[in-house]
Order: sequence, then structure tokens, then C-alpha cells
Amino acid sequence: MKPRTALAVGIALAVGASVSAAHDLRGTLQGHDSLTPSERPATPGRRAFYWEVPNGVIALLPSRANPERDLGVVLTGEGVTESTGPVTVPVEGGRCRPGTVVIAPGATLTVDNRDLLAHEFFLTRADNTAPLVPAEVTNPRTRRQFPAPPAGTYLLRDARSPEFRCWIRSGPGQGRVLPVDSRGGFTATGLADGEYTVKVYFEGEERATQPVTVEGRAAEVTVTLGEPSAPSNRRGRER
Amino acid sequence: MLFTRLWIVVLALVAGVSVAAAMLARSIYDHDRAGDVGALVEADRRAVDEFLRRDARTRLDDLAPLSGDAQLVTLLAARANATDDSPRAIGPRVTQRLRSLNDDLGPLKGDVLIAVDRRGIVVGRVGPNDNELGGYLGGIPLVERALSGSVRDDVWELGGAAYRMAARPVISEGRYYVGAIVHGMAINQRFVEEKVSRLVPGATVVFFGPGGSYAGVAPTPERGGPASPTVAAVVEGRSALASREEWTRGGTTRAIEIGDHDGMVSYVALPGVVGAAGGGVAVGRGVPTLPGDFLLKASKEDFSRVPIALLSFGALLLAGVGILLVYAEYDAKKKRLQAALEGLRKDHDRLDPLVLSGFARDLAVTANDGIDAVVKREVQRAGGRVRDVGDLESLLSVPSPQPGVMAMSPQEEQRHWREVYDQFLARRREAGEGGEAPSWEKFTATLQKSKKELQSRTGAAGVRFTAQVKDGRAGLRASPITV
Repeated sequence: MKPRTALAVGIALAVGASVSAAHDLRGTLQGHDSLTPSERPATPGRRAFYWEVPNGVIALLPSRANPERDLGVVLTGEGVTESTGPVTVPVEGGRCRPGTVVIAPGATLTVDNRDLLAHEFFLTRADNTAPLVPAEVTNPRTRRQFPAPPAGTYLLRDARSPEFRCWIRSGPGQGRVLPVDSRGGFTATGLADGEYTVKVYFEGEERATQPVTVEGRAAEVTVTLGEPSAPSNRRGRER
Repeated sequence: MLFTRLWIVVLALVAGVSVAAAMLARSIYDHDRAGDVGALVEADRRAVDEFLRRDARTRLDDLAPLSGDAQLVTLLAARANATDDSPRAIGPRVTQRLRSLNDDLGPLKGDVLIAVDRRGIVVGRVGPNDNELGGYLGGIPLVERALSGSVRDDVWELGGAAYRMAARPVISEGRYYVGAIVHGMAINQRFVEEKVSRLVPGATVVFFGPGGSYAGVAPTPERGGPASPTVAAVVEGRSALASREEWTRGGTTRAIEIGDHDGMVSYVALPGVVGAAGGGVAVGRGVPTLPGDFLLKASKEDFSRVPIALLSFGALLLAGVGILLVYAEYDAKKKRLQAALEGLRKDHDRLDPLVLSGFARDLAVTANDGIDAVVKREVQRAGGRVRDVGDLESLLSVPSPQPGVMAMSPQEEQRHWREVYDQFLARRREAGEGGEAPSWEKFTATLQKSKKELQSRTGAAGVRFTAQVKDGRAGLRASPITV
């Protein structure tokens, strides 16, 4: 065997061994259909519309959480590095994605406005409306950076759209954010064997924690969402 | 001339009150016009708000056929179960269908028309960036509510322009929500002009957002009419809104004056996203003010409403009273003074103040003093001695007894003294002397004493007295009589 051929075979074997050691995790959320968003704040003294009336044909749909946008699924574990790097949160269609962002204290939070509309983002504590970071216009297709606040739960709000709310959880537990599809499914790829934890956040609160073990093959997990594990401090519910 | 002087004061007061009344009338007029314009502006503001409300309802209703279009419903229903964000399969067809439907809307043709699928993904688009499909709009309240079945309106700012938005759900088979239609019409100059045309002429209407004006119309002022506030002045005026509680808490303002008498403006917040960002509509009008030279601009009709006859009669009456007072207090007395002066030229050696009054008497007294001074100087120059009423020594010693005049009997003397006493009392009254007059007994005692003193000094057989006014006071003049 020629040296070049031997090297190629070696690399192929190494890659093959590596691939064979990485596995996927497929998950399903249960109970997300029953998640009800908290009441949305309004701007005092301002009308949101002239008319909002039923269509007159079929009944209105009840307000339900959108798993794609509103839920934050974070995977932590042995093979997932706790990152303190900058986090970019896209804002599109009046929502940030995911609805709850987990970030390490001191990291930089970048809000990427991919909306049609301009926003005036400001940051408050989740239980207080006093801005910690003042409102500033972020035009469509532009970004704005915030320093991540100390540990705690915060709200990113929009002075132009009072219904916009994006929860920021600052503290440990930032792992890999897993996108969720419209049916509540999520996938994590390339996981080494080991113990992992799937955490699900809704409106800034941890609604489920599910340990899962990846060992020798693709793993599957079902996470059932429940009530918040800690007393609620969400402003929306208080209203 | 006391009354004449008082009359001048009265006339000055009348003139001052007249000018003050004119200025007050002008101020009242301006104040009332500002109140009227304020009420009109607030009515305009309510009218514009109502126009927008009806406009929103009209658009929502007229979108119903579009949201129920069978072809569109079929296309959106095809994505009812899609989980991807790429609508390539139906995007061009949806956009084409939207364009066709939009053209059929006539005057309600949208500047923006968007179709979203059940998940809020843009699957068709007409208007700016109409090739951008696949974006997510489902979290924007207008779209979110439409996807839940509501019919709703909003106002958005897209690319620096404001749009009146409306959204309706798209329903398949009468049972399922498969998406929504989002329709927008720009708030542009034409739209504002159309709204202004429904108001009483003269209104400035401006749609503004957080960054400035979207569109506005300020009418050209009519000849002689008040200038309406400019669009720039109205937009500038909104900077003070943040400090007004009625605006921050209620989203409207009463009519407020902007700039330096630039006009009255009332603001109302637009609904939706633009309203939350501080945008709204302002309606303003100029306030007519009475110019300083308003009297010069009076027309014949204005004059015809003035009661000129009555005012003329009043003016003539005032003038007549003034003329009468001047005649009584000046002209008549001047004539008597002239007559007295004529007497000097004939045979009188003095002016008689008793026949004069007021300023003429004062002049006569002064003239008499002048005559006395001249005579005194002439006598002294000739080496003689002049009798002086005020100088008793000269009065009693200098005049030589009048020869050839018979001394009076006691009865004649008593009668003479009575006459002198009566004359003295009369002179006191004429001189306006106050206080109590001397009694007859005291008077005769004084005459007796003077008589004796004069007789002892001159050896005269008797003394005659005359009462006179000198320096404004009644006094006596004694003349010795020799046999």
C-alpha cells in the first residue's frame, strides 16, 4: 500500500469511528397544546385597533402557545459545553425565537430585527416595567446589542408593540438550543454517549426537565410540560 | 375756569375709555375666535378619527370576498399541514392570484397585500419586496388575531411610510382556518387631501409618526382669512405632547395653541403599532385675529351698523356743554374785563374788582397793584409822598386834609359809618373771606380809634372811610377832612 493510500484509509477509518460514536436525540414535547400565553400588556391610552371582531363564520381559536416560537428547548450535558459566548436572537413576525433565551451572565445578547416593522427594544426585569436598558429604535434588517444582565429573569420588550415579549434567563444552564417544529418535535444531532438533560422553557420559566441517556445508538425522549417549578413572577399572569 | 378744566378732564376720560373699549373689544373678539376655532378643531379631530374608523371597517368588509376566493383558499389549504418555511411550491401562484384580486378591488386596491399560511408564513405577496416569501408574520398582533379568526385593523410603518392595515382569516370548507389575508393602503398625500376635503375648508391635517410627518395638507389661506398652521409647525408642536397627561393617558388632546400664535391644533393617536410608537393625526386651524388697524378696514356695511346719529348727537352735546362752559367762565368775564379796561382809558384811575369775577378779578387786582406801583414810582420821582393803604403811617400822616370839605355832624358820622360797615361786609363777601365778620360795635370802635389817631396826627376836623378790596382782602381807607 502506498503511503498516500494508507493515509486516506486511516482518515476514513478515523472519521468512520467518530461518526459511529455520534448519535442523534429525537424528542417530542407533550402538553404544549394546553399552554396558554399570559395576558399581553397594552399601552395605556392607546388603541390597538379600531375593529377586532369575529369573522362571523366559525368560532375563534383560543389563544395557544406556538411551540415553534414560544418554547425554548435547551440541551445540557457532558458533551455540551456551557457557552459564555455571544447569543444572537432573531426577532421575526413580532416574536423572538425561541421565546425564552438562556444566556450566561456577562455574555453579549444581540437582537437581530428581521421584521417588516421597526422596534424599540428595552429590557426590564420580569416583574417590573422600569427599563434597565432604555428603548432605542432598531430598524428592520438591523441589530442591537445588549450586555447580558446579572443572573435572573428579564423581559425584552418593545415600546412600539406592547404585545411583544421575549424572556431572557440569565444564569447557568446555557447549552445547545434545539429548534422545535410546529408539532413539538425537536432533534439534537452528533451527540456523544453520555448523560444529558433536556429543559423546556415557556415565558421565562422552566416548565420541564427530562434526563436522557445516549448510549450506542440514537435516543428518543418525550418531555411532558407541566406547571412552573417555581412560583410565578411573570408580569403577564399578574395582570 | 374750574368747570372748564373739569370738563377737559371729563373729555379726556371719555377718550381714554373709548380707546380702552376698542382695545377690549379687540381682545374679546380674539379670545372668542380662539374659542370658536378650538371647538371647530376638536370637532375636526373627532371627524377625522371617525373617518378612519369607518375607512377601516369598509376595508375589512370589502376584503371578505378576497379572503373567500376559492382559488386562494385551495392554495392555502394545500399548506395547511406544511411544517417548512419554504412556500416555493405555491408562492408564485398565490402571488399571482393576489395581484389579480387586488386589481379587482378598485379604489380599495392595496399598496400591500400579503397572504400567510396557517402558521403565519408569508406565502404570497404584492407590493414592496413582493419576491420575499417565507418570512414569518404570525406573531404580529394583526396577523396573529386573523389567524385565530378575528377581523382586525392596524396601522403599520413600513419603509418610513404609514399604512392602514386590515386582516381577515382565510377559511376552508367553512370549518378550518388555513391562513390570513393582510391588506394595506398607504397614508399618502392623496389620502390626506381626500380626508381634508370632507372638513370645513381651512383645516391643516397631518399624519405623523415617531420620526416625523407621513403626509399632510395645509390649505392656502383665503384672502383676508387666517393662515392655517403649516405642516412643519404642526409636526413641531407634537414635541410637547409627551408632557401632556391627556395625550399620554388618553391619546387625544384638546385644541392647543402651537408656536407663536401659529394656530390651534388637536391631536389624536392612531391605533396600532404606529399609535403605540407615538404616531397620530393632527388637525389644525388658524385663529382669526383683529388687526391693529381694523378700524381702517371697516366697510360701508360696517359703518351702516354704527348708530352714527346717536353718537353725533352725543358728541355735539359734549361739545355744546364745553362751549357753554368756556363762554361762561372765560368769554363773558373777558368782556367785562375789557369794559373795565376801557374805563381806565376814560376817567377811572383803577379797575373795580367788584364788578369782575374769576380770573378777570384776579387780573384786575394785579393790574391795580401795577398801577399803584407805577404811580408810586412817578410820585417818588417827583419828590412827593404816596399814601399806602397797607402803610398806616403814610395813610394817616401823609395825605393832607381835604380843604373845603365840611366836617360831619355826629348823626351824619353814624350814618356814614353804617354805610361803611355795610360796604365792608359786602367787600368781605366779594373777596370770599371766610370766618366771622366783626360786629358793629367792634367795627365802630376800630373806626373811632382810627379817627382819633388820624385827627391827632393831622389836625383834621373829621375822617371819611371807604371799604375796598386789596390783595384779595376787604379793608378800609381813611381820608382826613378839614374845615
